[in-house]
Amino acid sequence: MECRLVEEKIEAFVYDKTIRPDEEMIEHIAGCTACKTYLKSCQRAQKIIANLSRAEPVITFPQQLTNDIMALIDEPVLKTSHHQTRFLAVARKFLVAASVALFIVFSGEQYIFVDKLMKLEKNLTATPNNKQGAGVYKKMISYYPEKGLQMVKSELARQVPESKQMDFKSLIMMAGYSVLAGEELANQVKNQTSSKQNLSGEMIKHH
Amino acid sequence: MQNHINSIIQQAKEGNKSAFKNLVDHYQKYAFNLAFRVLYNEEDAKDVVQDSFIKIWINIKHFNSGMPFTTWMYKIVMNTAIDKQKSLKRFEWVKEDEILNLLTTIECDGPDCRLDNEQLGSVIKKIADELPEKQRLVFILRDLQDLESSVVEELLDLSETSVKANLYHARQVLRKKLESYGEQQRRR
Repeated sequence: MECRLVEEKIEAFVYDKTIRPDEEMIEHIAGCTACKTYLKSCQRAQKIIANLSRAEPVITFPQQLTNDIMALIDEPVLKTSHHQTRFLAVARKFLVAASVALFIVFSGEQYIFVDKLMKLEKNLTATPNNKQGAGVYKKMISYYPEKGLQMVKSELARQVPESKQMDFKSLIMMAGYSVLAGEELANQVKNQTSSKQNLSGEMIKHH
Repeated sequence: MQNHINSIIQQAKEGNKSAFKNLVDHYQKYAFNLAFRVLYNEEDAKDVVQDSFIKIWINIKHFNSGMPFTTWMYKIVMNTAIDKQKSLKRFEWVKEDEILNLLTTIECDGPDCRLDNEQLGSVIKKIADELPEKQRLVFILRDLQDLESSVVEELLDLSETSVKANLYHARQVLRKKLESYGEQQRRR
């Protein structure tokens, strides 16, 4: 039998007077110094604890204590304090409810605000991909070939419903990029044409 | 006797102050014992008994006559004592020599081996105060107050297993502590 199990049995036997030691336990303790010491240590602790339990503290002037309690019960202050306690209890419950309600409202508001902010940030920082940019550019060239960016913006704003304003902002960005790209392309074409004209003029001149 | 007590409790529930006075007379000793063992001090324990009986008077109409009055009373006393202890920041140093002498006294079984309230409070404080709160309360209720395990479970809202485990650990700590005091006593 392991010492750990014997210790558990010793513990139960020492503190519970209804438990009798079994043969195996007695045999083990007889041959094991550590468990013998443990038994003695437990018995001493149990004796001190039992004596402490029996040594009851004494109330000096118990009748005085009873009279003090009864005097406090008779005092009208107790009634007032009882009402105050009830009022405070109700007030406390009300404050708890109010703080919970405020917490829900403000956390909801904050959630909506943060959500909007994140969407806005996402849309404004989003870079349109080539396909989107090309599509918008194509559209813009088809329908508004001679109009400027301002016109494109106002036209898109008119067409996009309010609920899609977030998407609209990204469309504006894409449109912005597309216009710049268009201007760049137009400049390149113009430069190429003028350089061709110059070259042909020079060639004619030389010729 | 129990019928008589039940009748007094019923009268107190109906607002009879004289019946309540009888209740106070009969139960204040039990309330004081518990409060003293939690607080280790007579004056604090008396304050707790006073506050507890006022709470009992205010709430006695809500007392469920189906349960033992002592369990209900102990719960109020214990909670009041715990609150009181939290508000007290008293630091009382007990000398090691003094404790060794007190333990020798408490170990002897003779009629001259009685400890006064102050000495008793010092011994309980010295051996139990360093226990974690749950273990300390389980030890006080189960071993010092000698309450049934089921009552301790109800008073502390603990399961049977939890009470057993806390009591086991508390006894282990106390055994080791008392063992070390025993060695010091032998060296003297």
